[in-house]
Amino acid sequence: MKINIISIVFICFVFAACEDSTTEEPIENETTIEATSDKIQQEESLSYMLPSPLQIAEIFKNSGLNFVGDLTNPKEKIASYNTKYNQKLNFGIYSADMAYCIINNQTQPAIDYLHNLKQLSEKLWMTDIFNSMGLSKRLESNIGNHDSLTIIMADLQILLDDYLVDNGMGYTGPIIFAGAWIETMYLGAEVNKTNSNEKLIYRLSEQAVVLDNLIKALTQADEDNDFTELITDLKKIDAHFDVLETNEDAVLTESQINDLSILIAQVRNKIIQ
Amino acid sequence: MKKSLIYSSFALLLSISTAFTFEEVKCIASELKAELKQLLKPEYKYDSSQITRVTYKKEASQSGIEVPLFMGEKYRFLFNIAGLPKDIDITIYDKKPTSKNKIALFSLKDVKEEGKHIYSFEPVKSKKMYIVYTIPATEEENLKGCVAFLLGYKL
Repeated sequence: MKINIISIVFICFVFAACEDSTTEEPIENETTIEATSDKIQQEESLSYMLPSPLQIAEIFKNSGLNFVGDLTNPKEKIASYNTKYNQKLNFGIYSADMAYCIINNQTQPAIDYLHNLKQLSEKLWMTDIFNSMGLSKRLESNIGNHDSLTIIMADLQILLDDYLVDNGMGYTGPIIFAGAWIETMYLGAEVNKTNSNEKLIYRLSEQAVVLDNLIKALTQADEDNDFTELITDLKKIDAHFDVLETNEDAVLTESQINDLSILIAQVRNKIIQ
Repeated sequence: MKKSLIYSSFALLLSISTAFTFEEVKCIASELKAELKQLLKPEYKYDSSQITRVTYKKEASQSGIEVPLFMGEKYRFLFNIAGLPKDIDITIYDKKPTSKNKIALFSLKDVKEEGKHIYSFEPVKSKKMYIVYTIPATEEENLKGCVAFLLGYKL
């Protein structure tokens, strides 16, 4: 009888323990509903979505973002990124460079950048992203197949997002995106200098909405004031978009785009140095 | 006899607490999102996602997500509410939730079906949108859950 009761107690313990481990999983970039008012009156109760860098690159590509050699960040520079902050920002930079190469069918440089991302992920303890699904092999076996490479890049974004959420690293997402956004804007603005067209200028101007969300997302994530300088730099860039505020369909003029590109290049150079 | 009584009481207490634990709704982010990812295929590609964890309180509450969209592109909004122990409302507005001129483009309460836990919305016009989760008031203690949102795009 005693043994039976002890068994019941043990089984109860086991069930309780198992249930506890499956119903709750750590989520740090979750939005927890804490507001008690019945109206959203304050910005704090909002969270800010950031688009995938691949989507921005594809939109730019459809608007005339052709491939110009030597614009991307040299892969060898990876050796100089020694702090976690630099590694995260340059993970974003290299992600954007990989997307730029993929959408322009530059598969060997795309693979090189993937190797860089893998190296940085190891330094950032995000190795599982690349180990799962065998991304490296998939990329190498799809050389020249633009659609497959695009799908692989999209899968990488899903894995990254899931990994950051599952491992309570949600605050890392906006930093990585900041690097990717700066690089994509740099590529767009530089290509626009040699291959200017209305569509690309429109798409560059449209990025004001993304920058607005990026600054807000970074500010929310910056609990330890680690990103203050980056936020300040992004706010300077944001000021260039102020002329658009009166009309959401407005676009920057040629000279405004040139001014913007100078500032973008300055911030980008600070990140990749 | 005394020991048996203690064991029995302990087992009963554990059984009760276990039963309550079993009533909790599972909130496994990756599983909720995995279900939504399947609904992007074949035309849409993954853009981004957000898990919102909800705590029901004695007063109704709200929270929101700002979603930037690019002009002229096609988007699919997907929500998985399987992680919620009690219904909430989901509304998508074309302007800030505080704006007097906002228009509700989607409301879960208008399309809610018994037993269905995945809902989608495809905006006609692409511009920045605002998702608002409205959490009803409850007297129940420690009532929690989560909702998964996933955005797909088609160029």
